[in-house]
Amino acid sequence: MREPVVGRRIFLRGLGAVSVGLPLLDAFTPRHARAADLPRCAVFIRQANGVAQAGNNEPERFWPKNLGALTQAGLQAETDRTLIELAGYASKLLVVRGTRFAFPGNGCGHSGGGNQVLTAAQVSTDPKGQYSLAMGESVDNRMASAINPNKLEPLTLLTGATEGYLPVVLSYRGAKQLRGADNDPFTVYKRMTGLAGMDQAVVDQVATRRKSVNDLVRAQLQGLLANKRLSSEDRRRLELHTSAIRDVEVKLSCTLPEMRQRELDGINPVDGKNYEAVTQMHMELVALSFACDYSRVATLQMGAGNDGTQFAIPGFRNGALLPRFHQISHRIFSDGAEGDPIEGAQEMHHEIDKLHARLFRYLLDKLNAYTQPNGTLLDNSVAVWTNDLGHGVSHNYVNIPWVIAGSGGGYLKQGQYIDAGNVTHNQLLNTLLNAVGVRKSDGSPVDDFGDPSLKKGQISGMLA
Amino acid sequence: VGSQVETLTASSAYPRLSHRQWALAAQDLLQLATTPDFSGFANDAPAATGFDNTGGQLEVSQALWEDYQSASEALAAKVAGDSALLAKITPAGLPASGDARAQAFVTSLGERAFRRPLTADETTAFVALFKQGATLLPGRDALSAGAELTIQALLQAPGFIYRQELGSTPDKEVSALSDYEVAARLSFMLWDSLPDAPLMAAAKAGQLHLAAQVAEQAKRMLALPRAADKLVEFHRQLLELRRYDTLHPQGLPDGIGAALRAETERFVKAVVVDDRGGFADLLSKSYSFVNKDIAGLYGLGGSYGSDLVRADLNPEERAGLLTQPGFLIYRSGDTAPILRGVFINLKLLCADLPPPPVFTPPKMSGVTRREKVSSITGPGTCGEGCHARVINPAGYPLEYFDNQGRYRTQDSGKAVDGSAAYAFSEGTQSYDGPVEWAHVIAQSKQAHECYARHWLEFGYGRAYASGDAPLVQRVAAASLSDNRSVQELLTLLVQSPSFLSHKSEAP
Repeated sequence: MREPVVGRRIFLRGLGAVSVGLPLLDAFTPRHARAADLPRCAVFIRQANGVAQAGNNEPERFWPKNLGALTQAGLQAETDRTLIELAGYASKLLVVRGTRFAFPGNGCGHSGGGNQVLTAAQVSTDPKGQYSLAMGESVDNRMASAINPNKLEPLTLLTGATEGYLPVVLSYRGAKQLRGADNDPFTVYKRMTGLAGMDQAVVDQVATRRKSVNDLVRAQLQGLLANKRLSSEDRRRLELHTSAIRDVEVKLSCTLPEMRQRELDGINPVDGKNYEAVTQMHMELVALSFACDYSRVATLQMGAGNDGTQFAIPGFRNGALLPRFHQISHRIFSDGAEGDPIEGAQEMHHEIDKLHARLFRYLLDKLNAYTQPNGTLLDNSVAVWTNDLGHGVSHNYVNIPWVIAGSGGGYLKQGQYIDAGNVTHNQLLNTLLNAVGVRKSDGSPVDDFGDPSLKKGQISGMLA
Repeated sequence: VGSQVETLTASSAYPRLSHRQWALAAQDLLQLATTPDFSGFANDAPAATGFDNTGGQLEVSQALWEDYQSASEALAAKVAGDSALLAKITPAGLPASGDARAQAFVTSLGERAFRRPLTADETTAFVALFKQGATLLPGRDALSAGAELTIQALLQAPGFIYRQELGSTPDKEVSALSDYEVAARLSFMLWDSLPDAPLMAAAKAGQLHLAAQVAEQAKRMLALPRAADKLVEFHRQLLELRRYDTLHPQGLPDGIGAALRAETERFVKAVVVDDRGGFADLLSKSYSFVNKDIAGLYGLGGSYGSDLVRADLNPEERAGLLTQPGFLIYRSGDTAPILRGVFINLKLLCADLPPPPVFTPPKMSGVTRREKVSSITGPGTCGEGCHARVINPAGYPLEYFDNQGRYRTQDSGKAVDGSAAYAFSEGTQSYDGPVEWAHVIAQSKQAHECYARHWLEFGYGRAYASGDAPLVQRVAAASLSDNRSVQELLTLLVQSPSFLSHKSEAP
């Protein structure tokens, strides 16, 4: 395992709170930092309902036309494909087709896909259906425990409401240990910044008081844990609680401009009409977190699939409100039917894919705006756009969309579209773990993430 | 059925408070006029019960720990920095200074926070912290400083955050709960908050372990406003009422979503609290609460303002929760019969639906919504197994309502067909239209059992297990055959062996 390198946070402490809403600020990078010392970061954003790729008698609207090198001019010329929206980032993309989820869902395709996408683990039998869980740790959790400073948990974000048919599915501490996701950007922001901006003398006083309180609370938790009859599940929960208590304030030393803070504060995060705005706010927080070395790992679940989300896309059908996205993704209802029951459903799905491509581009813009000695924050990170399904119509688990940007500081190939050859996607997760510097305990590359029954190894075509 | 006794279900010895419980308990502990804002507390992972208080699954993550920390600090500073507020929580006859004062303050507040007397070790630890006040909060009055630190720590302490349930014989797998543990179970079940003084006094006197003693307390507690809040909160979570806030139905005023939610909450309160009604009443009463935006959806004449007022509805068109516009609008559109049908199956009938098929209605013109849905999921289609028998028949009678919840008799120029038959676990029942359907559900054993099961999960704060079946059947029978009120069902639930004892999970 690589030792986390803490640089910018310590460096920043002397500056107090600094507003970094705009493209950055070389001053934030320690002048002595060498490229190899820079932290690696990873963010996974997950769209739901599959993409409008070829299948079920529908034409290809997602993947690029040709395997091999991706260029800006090439992507721009592919006017019927989703990735046209990312043409400006062609040289920093790694697009991977040919991976699949290994295990069946258990009564709910969305939940089963969401359970597997970042875990490569089996889907639980109890609970089942829309409440099914992953039977293993997720990749963001593994990354955070290896590379996050101060043992921070990964940022776990959600666009949309937490109540409804399909809940949160993405991040797991371990088998069935689903992590809650935060859907209110301002809440997350406040937690990330804490006492930033306060007078140092006040901060020190608060910290001393906290230490006394923490000591008392920890001692009482230790008392409970001393009980030999404690159930294993209670023990796990109380240990988690104990480890959550920290004496050192772990906070961002940089802040967003006040105007943007007010926008975060003012938005209703569960109103479907704010889907894009809230997603963008979450992305800004992820970029801020990486740039100022808070959590180096984040996930963002955008919507829940079957959650009633409806999009209205400017310039498409006069900006009319489209049917529910989930219904668009289900456009064929019986075998052998000709044409689409929702007229133009694949086109709608394609437009929704492009909307998500633009959201991904927004994230890349934010990451790419921070310069570092050997490039940008994006270059030293891995930003991943994926899905809980492959094809929207059949809700299947093959050809999962993986659009990756940033090379993890040179680990991943760039400007390429590759076919992994219908392998299980644990190999892709292995590759990404290595890209951000995670290693096995003996120092060798990770090759065994996910369910132990899966074929080990990385996807060699992804390596630079 | 009545003579069968449930087998005990193992459960956590440290269920965590829900966010709502933490905030209400903090409010009561500190005797604040308003409930602390807990909307920013880190979201918990969803539980399969669908409720937010399945305590054995709730964790304290780093994020939540930080939220507890900041909320505790803010509340402690507020109370300790205001002499009037501080006086409220200071025990009478507090010694003027020194260790005795610290001891008295800590003992009194600690017992309320932990819902039991502090142990000697706990007292020592909190007294030591109290006395650090002078150095950690320099320049402050010693009582105020000590109180601030004590409150800050109490609100973060495991004794406050978890409902400890070790039983009176902790070394046994099954143990009767201690009187104090019963008090806390009772107060968090009925109030989402701490025991009050009479309940603590009963526990202290050892008068809180027999079913009759507990029932008597429950009846007293159910008459207080906190219980009304809890009764409404149950239905708010069961029916996903918070989602109504962000509904934007086409053609209706912006902001109507919040009014639709308020309507259903007022209705639930009127039926369950004010009229002490039962589950059947929730599905059959033909009145509701309307304002100027909602009245039109019911076809009501007359003038209404922004506030909700009680209105009698046409009993041939409307019957309870299932015919309210909020419910109908939240589940509307071309697939409304399916959305409404699935909800009724899952949440009102606890039907175990197989995996949903791939489905979307085709664009057809000149046919009714029912005809469209039937053509895809009715007899002879791939969706038949589940849709034709249980989903569609639960949704079709509500076809008398359009996407705005208005009553209609025509769909696409044809007469609405609201007739159907549902395969209940106790047998198939036929009906025609929403009112008949609502009354059929209101008289269904399956529905009453489902309602009782939800209350067991929400009341006990844990998932239902097969061993609970006899208890659920007993409560459901009281609800259906004896017409017992919802409040009486809760009184039954708190008298069961499951409530009064604890079975440990495996180490």
